[in-house]
Amino acid sequence: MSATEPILRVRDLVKHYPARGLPGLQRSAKVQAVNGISFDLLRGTTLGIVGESGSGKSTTARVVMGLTPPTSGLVEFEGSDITTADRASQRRKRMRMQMIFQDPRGSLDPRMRVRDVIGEGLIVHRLATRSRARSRVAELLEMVGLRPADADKFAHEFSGGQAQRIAIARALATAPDVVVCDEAVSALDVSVQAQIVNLLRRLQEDLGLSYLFISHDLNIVRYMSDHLMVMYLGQVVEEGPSGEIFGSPQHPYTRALLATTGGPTASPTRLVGEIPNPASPPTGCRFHTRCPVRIDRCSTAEPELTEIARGQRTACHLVTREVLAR
Amino acid sequence: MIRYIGKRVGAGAICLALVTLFVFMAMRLVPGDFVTIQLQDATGVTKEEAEQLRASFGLDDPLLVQLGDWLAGVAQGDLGASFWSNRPVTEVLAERIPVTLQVGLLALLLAVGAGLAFGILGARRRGSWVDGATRIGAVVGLSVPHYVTALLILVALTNLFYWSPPLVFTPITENPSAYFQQVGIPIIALALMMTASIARMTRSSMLEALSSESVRAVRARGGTEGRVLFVHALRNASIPVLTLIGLELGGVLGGTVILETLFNIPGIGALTYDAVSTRDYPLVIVCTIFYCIVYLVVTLLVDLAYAVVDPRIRTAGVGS
Amino acid sequence: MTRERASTPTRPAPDSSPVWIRQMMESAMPIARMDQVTEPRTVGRDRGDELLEVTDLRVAFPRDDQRVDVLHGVSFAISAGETVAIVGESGSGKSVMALSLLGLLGSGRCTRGSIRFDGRDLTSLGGRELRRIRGRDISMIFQDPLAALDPLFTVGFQIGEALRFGGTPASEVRRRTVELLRQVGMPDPERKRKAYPHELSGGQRQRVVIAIAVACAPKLVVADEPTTALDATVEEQILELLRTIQRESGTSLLIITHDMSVVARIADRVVVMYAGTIVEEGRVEDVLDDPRHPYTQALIAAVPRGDMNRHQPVPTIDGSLPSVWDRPPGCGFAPRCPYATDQCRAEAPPAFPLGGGRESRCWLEATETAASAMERQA
Repeated sequence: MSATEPILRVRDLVKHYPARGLPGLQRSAKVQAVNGISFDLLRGTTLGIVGESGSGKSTTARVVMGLTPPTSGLVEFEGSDITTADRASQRRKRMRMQMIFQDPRGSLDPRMRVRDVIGEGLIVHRLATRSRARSRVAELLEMVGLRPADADKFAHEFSGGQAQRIAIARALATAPDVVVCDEAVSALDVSVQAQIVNLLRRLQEDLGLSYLFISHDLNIVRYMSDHLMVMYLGQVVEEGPSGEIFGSPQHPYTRALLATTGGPTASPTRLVGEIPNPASPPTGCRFHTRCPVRIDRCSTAEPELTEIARGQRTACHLVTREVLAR
Repeated sequence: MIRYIGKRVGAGAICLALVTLFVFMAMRLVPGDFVTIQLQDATGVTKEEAEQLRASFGLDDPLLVQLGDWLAGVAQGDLGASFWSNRPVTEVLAERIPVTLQVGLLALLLAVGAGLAFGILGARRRGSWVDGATRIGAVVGLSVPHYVTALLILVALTNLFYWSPPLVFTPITENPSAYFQQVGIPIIALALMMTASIARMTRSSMLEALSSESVRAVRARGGTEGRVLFVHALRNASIPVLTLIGLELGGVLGGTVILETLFNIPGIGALTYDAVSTRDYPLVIVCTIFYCIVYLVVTLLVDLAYAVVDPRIRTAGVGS
Repeated sequence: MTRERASTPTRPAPDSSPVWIRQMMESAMPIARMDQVTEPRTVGRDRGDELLEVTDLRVAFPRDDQRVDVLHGVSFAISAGETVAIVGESGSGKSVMALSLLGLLGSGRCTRGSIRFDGRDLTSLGGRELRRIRGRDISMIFQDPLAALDPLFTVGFQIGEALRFGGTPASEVRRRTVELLRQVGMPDPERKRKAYPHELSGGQRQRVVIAIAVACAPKLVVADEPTTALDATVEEQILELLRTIQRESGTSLLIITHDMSVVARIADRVVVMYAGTIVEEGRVEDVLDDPRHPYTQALIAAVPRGDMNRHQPVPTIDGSLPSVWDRPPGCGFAPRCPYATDQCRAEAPPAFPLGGGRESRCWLEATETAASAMERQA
């Protein structure tokens, strides 16, 4: 059930941080956390964002949520730019976009009871009076698989998985359209991960939610997402329908990532070295320092995202060359 | 590094100037001045004579004029002379500073030594009677003011042993026994205050370090308990303790004022007390400057000590 | 996985193992596996000359004036040159198991059982003797390299410590340190020797931790979640490094992990733990291909794989992991097991040998007749 108009549109998003106090850098260096990415999130679907540390995926989430302003670029929610909007309409938009974080216990205030944790959004956005809030909280608790009686407890009395359910209930309190899941299941045990993933899917079907699902765990991302974006050092290296990408990954980085899960791969896929410093990224293609198949062009020119098949786009000189040759 | 020290010295100079200014003003706002206090009980002095006396000290000039005069003097290297003795303040200071520094340093050494020892013991033998005694002792040491401690010890010793400390000061070089008899109790009282907080901080810091993953890793590679304790845990635990020592020094400085007066030790503390009581403005100002400089130097040394102990601070830049 | 409660416990038809597992194992170490084919390693606890043999180990921790058992009688063995993985989730007791091998339990105590290493029982050794074994015969790789390295000392100093504690003469330490750094793949080892931990990247730090662990050529290296804190591509490099070291030095490797894909990529045998007991063990191919214990099945099925239909829910079991502190009588997994019977809840099952070094601690195995058990083995 995807509408034609994306619910979230991001164009040429850039986020740089000043690099203060980092060893071995000049004062004027900037951490280029996100360096020009664009994507659409269609209503009712899940866009998976995959990458390792330093890829910029968490920064992207924070900018999209409005937690930090972008250095430049466009973030449109339901057609209107939220980065330049005034405070009142930003607040309204905040209600419609919520976030779930990686550390379930860390994201819940240990001094608040569960009903206050979940009900806070309702009160702040004046969606319900205190009495109405109680019944809504009970409703939400049942929706996420907890009991209404749990509302009186404190967050630390729950296990990791249960705490994440509370976090989900909190996110749903304001009836959002978009939920950003920033490594929402990464800190959970494997069997608990499965429970939460099932819950998220069920909620998506029942409530028509759209997810921005950020993770470094490829198996979970493959299961959850309809579309996929692979990020490396602040840029998108490959994107498209997740089935296509997992089925036939084109970018060398994507292939290396997939090789770590034991999926079908062709050699060579093992990478050397580690992710370079985001404050001083390599010239040309940012991946070329670790790429097993780099050519000369890679160190001088930045590759563009090129469509290579059915909605799948890759930013790689070698792949582009092969596609053009066909 | 040099730039950092330069920045600190610059900031310190500003701080010093502000403090001096503040004390300069505050002293003159306090009721009574040198002359009126000296002449309180004198009967044969007329009002005009008193006024003349005041004028000779410059006490009848407006505040800003007094300030201007003093600053002009400072610019030429003259910090003024004591109202009381008419001796240059720098001279007075020069003979008093060593005494206080000795007492302060001895107290500091004693406190750091005892504090670290008790803290380490308490951490190693957590839950034992040693630990319990240390913690109770620490609370007592923190709660009881240093002069009360000193007086209690004094009273106890005089009553139990019929002994009293000498009241005439002999430098340590002349007669160590008499010296220590006189300064012993104040040193212990000062040290007790600091030992308490150093011991507490060391204990909790050591407990954290001993249960850390890196210490476990040292054990895993075959390190002895001694090495774990003294090479790894202690060094990691020392950082908050360093901060504490810097802060505690302020307490020591304050403590010297009362204790020196009580035990008749001719140091800066006693000097400050006397100077303030007699409203001897030039002396007060110069004592203030001394304390301020000591504070600034100590905090700078503590910050530099961090950089020596912790390489992470070195890389990020001291003070970042 | 269907959840029917039958009157007698029956085993469901074994799921054909996901294709990914076979592919992963094939792609992991094709060359090395060929070595193994020529030297068949007999796996099993019947030989008397295992490098490490844990027998009925019980470990308890103090809690409010009581001792609570955290490990409830764990038994397994590691042969020389073997890589064994212990897999489990939180509360399984796997980390406690690892720490008890090195005597690093802190306030925990082994209340029963033995750990025989190289002919001696580690549980009966005093502090001094344990210290001599640590680093020299058994060493450890920790989960978070940033926490495991002392931030106040250079990495060279810490590697040097490992060497010196192991008896290397002082004149040799510097040379050996650089050699070790080179061996673990650290670029520019001479300069990196003088680096502090916070100046290195995560992968480099873990290489240092590995260097410390292999400094004195120990017979057994215990790695506690060695790649959990690392990125996926770096994880691959570190696993490759461990494989190389293991291959070249013949050291035995015990890997603690929660990640089945790590098990598939590096281990010869796997031990599955739940709530302080071993529920299943055997060769990696066997266990992953045909998991017998319901928990093992659930653990494998809980990770969504590529050939899964995305609109079906991920197979999972209700309930949370048991707290280490309160444990029901009987089988620890019974409260969540879809096949649990009254017997399961009342009595803890023994380990049923399934041949070929395989074991499963589940009452379901008791209903198999001897004949069908032999059939399965063939």
